[in-house]
Amino acid sequence: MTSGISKLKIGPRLILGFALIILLMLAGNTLLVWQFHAVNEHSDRVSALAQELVAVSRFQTDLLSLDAKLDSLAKSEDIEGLRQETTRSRPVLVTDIEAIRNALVHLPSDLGDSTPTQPIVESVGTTLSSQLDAVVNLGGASDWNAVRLRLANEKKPLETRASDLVRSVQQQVSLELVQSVTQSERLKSRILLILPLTAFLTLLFATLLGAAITRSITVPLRQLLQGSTALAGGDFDYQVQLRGKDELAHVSAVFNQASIKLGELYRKLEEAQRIAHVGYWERDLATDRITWSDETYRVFGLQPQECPIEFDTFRQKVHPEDWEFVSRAVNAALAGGPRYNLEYRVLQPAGELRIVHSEGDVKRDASGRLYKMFGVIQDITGRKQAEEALKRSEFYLREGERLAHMGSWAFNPSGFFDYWSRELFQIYGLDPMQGTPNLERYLATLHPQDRESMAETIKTMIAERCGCDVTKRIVRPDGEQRYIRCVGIPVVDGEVLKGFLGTAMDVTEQELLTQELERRQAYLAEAQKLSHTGSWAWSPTGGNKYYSEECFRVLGFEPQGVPPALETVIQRIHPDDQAYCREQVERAIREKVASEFDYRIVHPDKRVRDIHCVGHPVLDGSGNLVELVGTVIDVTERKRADEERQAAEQERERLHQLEAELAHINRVSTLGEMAASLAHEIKQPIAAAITSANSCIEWLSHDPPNIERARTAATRIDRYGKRAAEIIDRIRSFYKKSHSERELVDVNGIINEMLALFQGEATRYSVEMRSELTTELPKIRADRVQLQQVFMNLMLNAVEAMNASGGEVTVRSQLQEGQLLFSVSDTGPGLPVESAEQIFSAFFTTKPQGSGMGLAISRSIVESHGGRLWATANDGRGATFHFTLPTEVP
Amino acid sequence: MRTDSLHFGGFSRLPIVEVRSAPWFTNVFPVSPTNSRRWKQVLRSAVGLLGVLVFLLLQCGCHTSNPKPITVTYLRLGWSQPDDLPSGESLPQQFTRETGVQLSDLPLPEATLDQLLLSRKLLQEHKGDVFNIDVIWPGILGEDLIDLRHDLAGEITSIEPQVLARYELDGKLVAVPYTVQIGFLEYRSDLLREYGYRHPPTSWDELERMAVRIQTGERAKGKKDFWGYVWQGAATEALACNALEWQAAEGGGRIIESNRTISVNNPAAIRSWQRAKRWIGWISPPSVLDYQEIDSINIFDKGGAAFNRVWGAAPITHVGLFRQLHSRSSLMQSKTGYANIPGGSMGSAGTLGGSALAVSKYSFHRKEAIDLVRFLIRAQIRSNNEASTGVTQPEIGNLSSVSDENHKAEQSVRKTPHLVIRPSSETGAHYEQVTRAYIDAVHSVLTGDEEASEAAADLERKLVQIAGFKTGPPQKGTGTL
Repeated sequence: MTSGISKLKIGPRLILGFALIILLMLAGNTLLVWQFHAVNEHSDRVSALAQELVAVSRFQTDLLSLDAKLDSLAKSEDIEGLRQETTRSRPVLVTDIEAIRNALVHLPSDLGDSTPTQPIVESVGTTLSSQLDAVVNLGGASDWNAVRLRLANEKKPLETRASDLVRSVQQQVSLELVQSVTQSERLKSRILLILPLTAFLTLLFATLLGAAITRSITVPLRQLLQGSTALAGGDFDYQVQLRGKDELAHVSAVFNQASIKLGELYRKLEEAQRIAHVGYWERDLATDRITWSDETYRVFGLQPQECPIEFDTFRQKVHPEDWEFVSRAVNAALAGGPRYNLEYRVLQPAGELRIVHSEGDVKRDASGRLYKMFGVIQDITGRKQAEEALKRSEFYLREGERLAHMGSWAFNPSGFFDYWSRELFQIYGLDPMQGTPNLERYLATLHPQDRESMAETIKTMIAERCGCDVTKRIVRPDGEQRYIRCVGIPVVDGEVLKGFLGTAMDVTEQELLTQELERRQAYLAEAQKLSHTGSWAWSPTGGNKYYSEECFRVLGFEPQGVPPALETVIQRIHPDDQAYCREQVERAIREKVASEFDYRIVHPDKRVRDIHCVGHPVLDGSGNLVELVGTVIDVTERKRADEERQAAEQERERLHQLEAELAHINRVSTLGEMAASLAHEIKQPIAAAITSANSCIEWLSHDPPNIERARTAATRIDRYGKRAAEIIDRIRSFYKKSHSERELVDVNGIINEMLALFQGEATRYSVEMRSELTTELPKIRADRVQLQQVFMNLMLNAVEAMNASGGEVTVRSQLQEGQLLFSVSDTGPGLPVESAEQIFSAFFTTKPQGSGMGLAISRSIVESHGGRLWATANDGRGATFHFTLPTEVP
Repeated sequence: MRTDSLHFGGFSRLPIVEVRSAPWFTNVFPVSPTNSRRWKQVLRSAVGLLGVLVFLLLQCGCHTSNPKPITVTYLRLGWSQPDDLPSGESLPQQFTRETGVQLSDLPLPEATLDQLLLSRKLLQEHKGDVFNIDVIWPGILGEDLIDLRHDLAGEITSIEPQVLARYELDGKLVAVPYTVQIGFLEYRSDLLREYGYRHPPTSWDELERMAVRIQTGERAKGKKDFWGYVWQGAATEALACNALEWQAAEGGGRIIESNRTISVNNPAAIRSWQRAKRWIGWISPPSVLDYQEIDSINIFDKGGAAFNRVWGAAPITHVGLFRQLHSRSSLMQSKTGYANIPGGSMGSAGTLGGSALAVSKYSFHRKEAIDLVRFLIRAQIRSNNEASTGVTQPEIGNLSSVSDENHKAEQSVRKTPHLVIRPSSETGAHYEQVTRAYIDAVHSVLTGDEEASEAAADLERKLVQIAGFKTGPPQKGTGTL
């Protein structure tokens, strides 16, 4: 029971108890009220019935009085009275019926149901109404006999019915009254039972509950009392044994926890002293003995002892050099001077030197007399060493910052810097003596263009508690501009923004380098764009790693950050080239070799582009493929140009052949023209040879034969024969359809040969051939046959121009301004004025048998040798044809 | 001497703790666990005791009232009391004795239309259980009544099917026939004999002649108020029944024919109304225009008239046996004879009346109500059967039989008369309006407010409006039974 109760808290426990008691009382009272209500209900029923009785009785009375009146009126045959009476009584009866109806409405439902009063009343009312009508009507017809009969026969049933009704209601009333009385009697006896029972039960419950609740509180309280006594005695392990869920159980649980906590704390204090090397000491001034805690012993390098030690022992432990100020401090403290608080050295028995920190207070008794000194002592050797180390580390840090051009700072959100490292002042060119700058001064150091954005950044950092990583420019007091990268992070403690920590680094060099790099990057991109060259990198692990912007464009992709996958690129390749490309790529990867191949790519807009792709592998130390790098070049235009050039070349070649062909034809026809002269030319040596042969024969036929003269003659024959052969050779070479063969030729030699060849022709037309050749003419690389043809054409023209008149042909050679200048002058009719240039056109001729090709071919030959051919009119008669040849023929 | 137990009311064992000399607290509430268990017992017992108390209180708090006897309300038409039976005990008393169900017996007003109004009002207010309804009402009240075909299956086999059919509405038997009535003529047999007549009048012409002669003779004897013929001229349903009998005798149709044509505007009908108008002030008193059944009976019974138009009764079990309905004690009882309604050129016919018993759809005591209907119908069937076998019924018109000194007040006729049936089944719910219009028209002709032909034409228009039927000539015959 008790444990059951103690599951509830004390408050609810009490409330429950009181609630139960109140509930009991309420139950009793409810029963009483219920009984009273029952009686009340009965009285209501009786009263409702009484009302009904009254209404019914009044109706009956009115009915009877109406009947009496009607009887008397019928007797006196007073139709007016009858009418008045019915008019008067009708509303009275209606009111009566209405009253009954109202009474019925207020009747309890069970009563209303059992007595069909209302239908009776309705029936009587309706019947009565029609009776009155009938009576008045008969009266109106003066049939009083019928009226009387009707009244006599018909009023009785109505009266009977009304009185029956009254009787039945009366019966009901008396029945209800009897029931009411019975009910009251029953109630009386019930109340007599309920009242004492309720009182008794309420009291019983109050007693039981009170006792149980009191007990459930006092027993645990006693246990708690015992527990606290034990705790006061230092027994931390004492536990109060209480269960349940109420406040007392909670208190005991807390008490138990507190005991455990206290015990733990005590042990922890001991442990903490040991770990922190803090011990306490107590000097009894009366006995001058000192009590040390275990740790104090350890601080002095001694084993913990139980008994107090002498003050003198302590003195021996202090480093001799320090004893003087130690004792001075002790005395000063005792004399009411400054508080005892100092550091000194301790000599441990092992010879080790420890630094200790000791402080203490003097204690006075009630009368103010000193009786004790109490204090703590701590071995601070470690701390001292740590301080040294810290100083050193700070030095390193400072040096590091200086070397890295990096400073550190702490910024307070309220608008100033808590800390600037020394290097930071250095970077900003500020004087550390002026202290850390506030926000305004800091912003003043910034480059005017960066000032606003930095102020905004700081605002954002404070508002959103976010860090920063910005690079901005500052202008040092000496006017030098530097780039500073500033990185900061917010320091938030709980929900409070404490500030920002960060570094600032002079990144001017890096920044300038980056800018240079960006510039170069831009140049490269521009160059790639201009040359339609994209660069790329592919690695076996990462696929396409890098695409330059132009690379995207060349391959028909939108320039975007991530290069498309290799397979995507291959899908872009013209279907005919895909297999080939795949093979090339695979080979490059497999064999780790450079590759170069062309393919076509189909851009999304269906344009087909020719791509030249070059790639070479990058290998690591052990020869593994790291990546493939290379370029793709859109060679569509170049390829087209190549093709065009090739076509032109072929055309030129064809023309060239045609030209050669023409030249050959020209030569043949020219020779044809000169056939007579040539025949003469050839005949001359042959005739001379024949003459010499005759002489030889003659000389040989001498007796003795003149061998000597014969030999001379034979030698002449040989010479003439050779000469004839030479001439024939030369002519034949003219006929040859030789290809252009460049060789070193002596042009003067050619001129002389041609002059010799034309000798016959010239003689035939009485033309004198002269030559004015410079001797210093160098040999040039040229086509001998072609040059012969030029000279032959020009000379033939000159000779033919004068075939009618005769004249003089002069062939000149000169060296002028580094080129060879030749001219063939005649004294003929000169050039046709209107066609000074036309004469070089093909098929232009002034000669009836000429082909018109000579000058055109000659010009083409000269030009193919890099020279020029033109004609001028002579001052006197005739014309001169000039042509130049460069010493270095292309 | 620690604890003891006490029987309390035989319900619960309550441990009683005795007090010792030790401090009561530690004694009553010992701390040991065993005692704590006892503690629980104490509280449990206390709770049990509380339960007992509440139970007891609840027991006496409850009402111990006896069930009240069920009362069934019976709305009875004033004239439809069944014939007295030799038992001497009234039917309601007998019913209450047999079933224990109380009967509240309500008479309805005199005029049929008033009865209808009240019946309808009570039905609509869900008051009343058993309703005695007129033969002309099924179409008007049928909706509010239950189908009795199954509950009274045994009884209705004994009832004449043609009568039963009058109460069927769309296959539903809304009421079970209780009485059947026919319009009759009662006459003073002594006076007829005195003035030399051997039989009652068979035609209206004959009645007029007889009435005039007797009226003149009686008045000469000093009975100044004596009239030849009294009937029901007040503007009630009774007038409709009278007028219909007049019309039928002349072949003037039955207002609305069974083929649903309105035939009222015809010369025969008009002629018959004009004949009746002629009677007023001649052989009938001027006040006959305000006479209802009671008034004409009052005058006849007082010896103030030679002829009276009344209702005769017929059994519900078969057609053909007729008895006088109103059992009334009067001086004239021994001097009264009964005859069929006089005829005209087309023969004679009495109006069919009667009533039936129905149960309200809203009755709170439907079972008891049906029991009452069954009880009354059985009583009526029994009465009819006894009457048809046990009582000698003299022929009507046989004045020698009528004059028999020993004959009973109840006279019956065996001869089956012609019947004229009011067009209630043809008009259904509209019958009330139709009959009101007809009554008004005839009454206005009788009072002289309107010419008969004019009134007939007006009525025809009204009826077309009300019923929505076409007009047509009267049919042969006077309706079927």
